[in-house]
Amino acid sequence: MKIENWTGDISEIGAIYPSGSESALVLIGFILWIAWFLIQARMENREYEEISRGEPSEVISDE
Amino acid sequence: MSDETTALTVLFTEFYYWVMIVLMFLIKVGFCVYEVAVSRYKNRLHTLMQVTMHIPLVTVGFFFFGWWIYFAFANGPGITGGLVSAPWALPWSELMAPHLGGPPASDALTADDTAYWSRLNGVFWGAFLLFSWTVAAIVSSATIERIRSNAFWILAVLIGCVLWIIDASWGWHPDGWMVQKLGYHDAYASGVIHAIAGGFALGVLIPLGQRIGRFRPDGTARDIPPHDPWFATVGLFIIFTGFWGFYAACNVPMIDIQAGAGVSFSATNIYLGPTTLSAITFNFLLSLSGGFLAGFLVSRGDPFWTYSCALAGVISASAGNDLYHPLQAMLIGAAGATIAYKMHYWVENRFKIDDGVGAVAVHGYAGCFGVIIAGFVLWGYPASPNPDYAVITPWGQIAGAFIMFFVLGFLPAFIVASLMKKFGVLRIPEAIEIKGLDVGQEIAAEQAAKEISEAERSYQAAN
Repeated sequence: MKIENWTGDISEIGAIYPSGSESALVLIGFILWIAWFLIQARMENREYEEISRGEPSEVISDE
Repeated sequence: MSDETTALTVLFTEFYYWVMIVLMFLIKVGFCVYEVAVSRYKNRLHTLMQVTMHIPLVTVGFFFFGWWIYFAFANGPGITGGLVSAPWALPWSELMAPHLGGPPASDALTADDTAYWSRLNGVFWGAFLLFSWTVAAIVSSATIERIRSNAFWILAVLIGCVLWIIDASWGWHPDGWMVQKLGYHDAYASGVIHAIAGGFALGVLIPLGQRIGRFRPDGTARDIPPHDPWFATVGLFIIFTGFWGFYAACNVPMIDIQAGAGVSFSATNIYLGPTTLSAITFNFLLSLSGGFLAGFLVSRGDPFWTYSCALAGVISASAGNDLYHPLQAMLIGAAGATIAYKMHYWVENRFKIDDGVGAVAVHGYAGCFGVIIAGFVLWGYPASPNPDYAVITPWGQIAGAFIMFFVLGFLPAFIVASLMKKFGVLRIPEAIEIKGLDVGQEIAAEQAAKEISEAERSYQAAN
């Protein structure tokens, strides 16, 4: 559902965003939020391993 | 909105909280400045990212489930009832998005829900979210220079999106079970924000351990001075400024408080009990002053601790700052600051706890003191405007301080951080700690500088 004009009784207007896909957006957002933690954990572990091994250039080139 | 008075009240309240969110943002700015200044030069950029990136992570989590917990858990659940229905706070609700207040599209909501929450849900959510950032930043400051970023951010989500909002639901919600049964009163969050954050930080610090070299072989502590003491105090000054927004956001600015017939508009505290913005102006400034004055004396003029004690002074008086006399607030602030300072060094020397900034003391011990002292000074006062709920008592406040600091703060943090330690994901490798967390960026900067100067030499040779 979307807003097509602002005429008529304003008090009858509810949501003003393009509605109908809220549950899908929540699902996608939640998956991306969890994925961010997982990707960042891998990046951080790899960075520490490479610096500890004395290979910081690999870290730098990845960035 | 049906009439002009309702419209003015709702629109003023909406604008008021929106401005408070902006003011509270300064707490975050202050924490960034302060934590970077307190860390050593070799760790400054990593510290900046640690205290920055929990902002988006906690924000997203708070959108998904934190706000819903505040309403849903007011009864425990299981203490005074079951889960409370709060359809306006579910992440897929039309009210968790731009809405003008017309009839709901979903059967889960009523016309009253949309009329009330459409203009207030976002700003209330934002104000509570800024409290979430604050509790997480307090933990960040205690754990600097050796915790893994990923571990900290998971812990930040745990306290910022789950634990503190459970305690807010129990002890800050006007119908929270602690308010009903214990007469728990904590108007400006001595316990609800500070005691839980201090307890949580302590629960992480024990399994996390000390920074390398922090204690001498004989067990006495070595000082790790801030790399920029001036900016550490500037950061704290900015936090004080943001604290005005924190205080004001704990109030409802304009509401009819008259029970029964008649109308009487006033500001209220978080429990909808009457207070005024003048009250918190008096008491904020006097408790800050009490903390400053005591802090200067006990620390012998140390700038970092004088400023930290000023913060501890405000935190100590916060539970009752809606009702104290300003000079009571000043004396309580001075006492709380002194206790925080003395306790910090006693715990550090006795248990070898390495708290990077004294956060457990300033927030945890001062917060617990603030909750408990309110029970004595305000003994017999109503904890909320509901006459059926318990009154304020010392034992209700002592139980409240224990729940905040230990049950919801220390215990879950200790369990989760110990598990992280067991799996080797809590602390950075020793080699990185010694080289400094910014070693990767420093090498990159050196290589970039070398490359550009080679390019300049080549250019000169060719021309």
